Amino acid sequence: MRSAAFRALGTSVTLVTADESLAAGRALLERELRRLDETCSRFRSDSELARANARAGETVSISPLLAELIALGLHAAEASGGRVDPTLGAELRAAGYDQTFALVQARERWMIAPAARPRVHGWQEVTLDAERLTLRAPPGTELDLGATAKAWAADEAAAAIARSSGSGALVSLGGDIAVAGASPHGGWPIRIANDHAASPERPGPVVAITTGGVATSSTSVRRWQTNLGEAHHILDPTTGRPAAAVWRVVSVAGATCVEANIAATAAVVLGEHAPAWLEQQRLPARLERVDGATAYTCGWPADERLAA
Amino acid sequence: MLVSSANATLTTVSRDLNDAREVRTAAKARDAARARLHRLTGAAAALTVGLSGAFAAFAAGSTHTRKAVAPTPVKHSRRLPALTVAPAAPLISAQSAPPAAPTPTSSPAQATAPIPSSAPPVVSSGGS
Repeated sequence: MRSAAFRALGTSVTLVTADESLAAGRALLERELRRLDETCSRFRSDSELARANARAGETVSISPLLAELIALGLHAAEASGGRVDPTLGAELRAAGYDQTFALVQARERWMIAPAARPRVHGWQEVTLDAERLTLRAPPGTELDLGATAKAWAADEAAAAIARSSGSGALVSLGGDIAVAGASPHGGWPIRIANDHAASPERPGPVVAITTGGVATSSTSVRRWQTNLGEAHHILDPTTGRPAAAVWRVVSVAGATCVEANIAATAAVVLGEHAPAWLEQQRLPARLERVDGATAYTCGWPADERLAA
Repeated sequence: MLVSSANATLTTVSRDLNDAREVRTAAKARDAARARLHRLTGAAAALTVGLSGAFAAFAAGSTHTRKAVAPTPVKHSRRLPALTVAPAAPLISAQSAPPAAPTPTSSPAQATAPIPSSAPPVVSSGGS
């Protein structure tokens, strides 16, 4: 296996190929990530999403790619019963995540202003005409497609690289992993960690997948100081504030990376109800509480079994 | 003598040509008159049919109090799913503790549980 690691979209990217197609695959991946950044970055004032957000309340024309990503964000909201809401951009900004995370972390403390009024708009009020390529979001709404767009890019890039090389490929974007094509014997080995940036060689449970994807959401990595205490980046749409930290880290295996990503984020927001919901969705998952205790759903192998 | 004979012949030929021209002109006039008559007959027939239909529709309408109108189907191009509009459902209540029957996230392909692996990991899945 060959692998390459680099940074894009404000996170780390890893590409693993089963054959010699690494260089061509990396070029394809970098191209796709550039296109994604130009289209839906929340931190670039010149991105298409930033321009559309600035015109919330009006009907605006959008590109086919942005339409697809917004449709995916709305699908995530619907599929998760509203727990993964793409209209939380303004709330994230208010909570202090208003620029790339490196800059947020470097800041001393963020002052969260008291909410002037309760959150009134949500994903249900976004109107996307995917045929005419128009979007209308309620005034004051900022779309944030970060999570689902990243997972979508992992799925798309892995599939494209596998297609072009005729071999297997693994793409990891900030710990959201998609695999496509023929997998190596025994599957693609992945270490489950609290922080995706940790070295794969460090101790921890190792599982393997042969299809689909694995995504992990954590409340302990993207954290920053505010006047109201520590904040993290997974917001509860019902309050617009960081979700209660019941789980420190939730990993989900899905038929696609997008599916896994939506479920992992929803599980953090659902808190104590997450295991039952994941069972209902028939999604294998590993959930680690803030005190370190773990729960599993739908056949995810227990850590003890992995250590044995 | 020869000149006189030739002149006579030319006069005869010229007369014949004039006669033939007159015949062609008359035939053309006749054909044009026929075509006009044909067009007038067609127009009259179409007018009769149209008026009959209109009167029939008027008569039929006057005997019913309600009319059913079939909607015209609208065709959409199939580049992307047509008109994804978020339903105007109420926002989720801040009090809603238990999950309210969310739509399944599972795609048609079923998620497969990972298997234990003893191989050296190639990547980490973790929070970002």
